[in-house]
Amino acid sequence: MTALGHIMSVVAIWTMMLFGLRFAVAAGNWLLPLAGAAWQLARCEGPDTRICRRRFLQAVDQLHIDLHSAITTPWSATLLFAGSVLIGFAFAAGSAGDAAQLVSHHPEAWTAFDIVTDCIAALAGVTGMAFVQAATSRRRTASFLVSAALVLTGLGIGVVTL
Amino acid sequence: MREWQAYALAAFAVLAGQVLRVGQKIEAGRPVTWRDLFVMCSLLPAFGSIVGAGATHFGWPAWSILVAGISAGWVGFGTMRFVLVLARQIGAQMTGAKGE
Repeated sequence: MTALGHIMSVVAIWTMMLFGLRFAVAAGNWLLPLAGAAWQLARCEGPDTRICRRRFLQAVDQLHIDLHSAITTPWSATLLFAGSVLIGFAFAAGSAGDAAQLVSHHPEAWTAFDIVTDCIAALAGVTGMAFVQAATSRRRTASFLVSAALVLTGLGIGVVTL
Repeated sequence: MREWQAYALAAFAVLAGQVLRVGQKIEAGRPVTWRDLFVMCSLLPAFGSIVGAGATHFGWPAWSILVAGISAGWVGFGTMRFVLVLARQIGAQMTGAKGE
């Protein structure tokens, strides 16, 4: 593998892993109060059940209100849908190369195509995830800076392990 | 793996863990103060050198350096706060014992 290929694959794997982690933790943070209310509802007994159910429904409504108040910045909706488009195309592109190799009579002929589509998938997927993350976070610029810093650490690791 | 590579890998992994933690804090809407950033900058070389030294001494593979560095960076703030609380309580106990 060439030096450029090594750096690119290290950056892609590293950023996709960390972004996935970050995505899951941030989304889980949003769901935390809902999980608490659901836990209380599950443990509820006797005449308190109606109160617990009302509290759970209130938690659901509160989550909706919180999301609504978090997406106040003017470009948030654009960012959200642009990120979704990028993630969708990333999935499609990433599987296109492998699908071509699967159905082809000469899979080796499609290796370069597979590598290129994987590159496109990594790039579009990471960018799209950063967009969606920034759209739902309360501080958009800081979120973008964090994404950039993670990509930079991936670059550093790729260069160091060359 | 040579020594400087282990140290550099550890530093980058710790930085990534810290950035992840700070990013999670920011996105949850909690405030990040200058004190947090100062703690981050002071913990980065400490954890980086500890993980790097462990890696060179025990011959860790690259993936365990990365995992250890990310974990250290992620829990670094909590550890620092825990140590500070512990130190404060011990100090209060000692001064209390001195006063008696």
